[in-house]
Amino acid sequence: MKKLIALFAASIMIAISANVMAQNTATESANATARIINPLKINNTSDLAFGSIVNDDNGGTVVISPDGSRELNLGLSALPSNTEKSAASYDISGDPDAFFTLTLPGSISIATSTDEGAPSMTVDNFTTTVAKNEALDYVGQLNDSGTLTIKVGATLNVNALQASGTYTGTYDVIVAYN
Amino acid sequence: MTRKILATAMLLVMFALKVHSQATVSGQAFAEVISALTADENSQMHFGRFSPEVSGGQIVLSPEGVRTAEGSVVLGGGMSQSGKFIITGEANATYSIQLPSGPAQLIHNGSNKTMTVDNWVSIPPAGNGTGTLQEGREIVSVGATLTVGSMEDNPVGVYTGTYSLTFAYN
Repeated sequence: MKKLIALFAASIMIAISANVMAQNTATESANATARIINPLKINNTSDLAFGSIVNDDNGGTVVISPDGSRELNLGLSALPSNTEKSAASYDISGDPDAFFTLTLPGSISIATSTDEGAPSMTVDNFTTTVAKNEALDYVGQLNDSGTLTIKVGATLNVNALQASGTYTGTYDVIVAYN
Repeated sequence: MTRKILATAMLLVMFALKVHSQATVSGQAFAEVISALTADENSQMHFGRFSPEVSGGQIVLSPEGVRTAEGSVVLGGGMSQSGKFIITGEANATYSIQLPSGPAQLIHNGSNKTMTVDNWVSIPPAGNGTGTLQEGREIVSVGATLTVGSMEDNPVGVYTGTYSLTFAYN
């Protein structure tokens, strides 16, 4: 009879202590999240080309619009046989539907060579197919495939008595997720 | 019995990503400046001296400067020459030559009598891209035909006039 009682008591104690242990802890699960975004990339697919300009010694301006059309002002004309004019073109890729800001140069110089004092001309008034927001920043949106092609135009300032020759220069375009 | 509640804090895991959120690309800008086309008269077209004689006629002056008389016109001595123009511009560029579309009037110095110059001919010939600026220049020679009337229509004296040519890059 004694043995039985002892066993019974022991089993009850174990059961009670198990319950108490359960009430000493509480667990909660939480999510850890991280989102990997597509890197923003930009690739130049077409140069900004003003073509062959005939200078009548008075100078003038040549405007390439983002749509690739060219306007010659004052006394400038272009060689009819020459068709080498184009707006610059860029392919942008990144997250689908993402907004991006675009930064264009203010003005750059193109010259006949890298030598100091080489004849040069200023290219300024850069324009683009991307629209400006209320703060006058260029803000565009990638399409639902995460890509977009944009065009860039500018104005070439030809000085009076500009020396004949081939003028080249480089400029940077920056895009950033908005 | 004190209850201890252990709570597992919520952990926000931030991965240190190399974030490609900005990209820069370099582009090139090109332009070519070409010398303007210029044209300067180098020698004046001159039909020289002649006499209409009985009924006048014509004097054909070739671009090479050779005179041929037709009708009763008799050529005299002295200088005669075709018109010559020096064209300059971008080396190896082609250009068009446009001759006058109609006659030019030469007016007598002293009266209102006139003679007509027509049938313009040039070397290189008129047309689109007929000229080429070898080493940036070329000479265009122009000849024409002078119509001479009778002695009454065209009395003795000097007759002068002007004519226009148009040159343009092609």
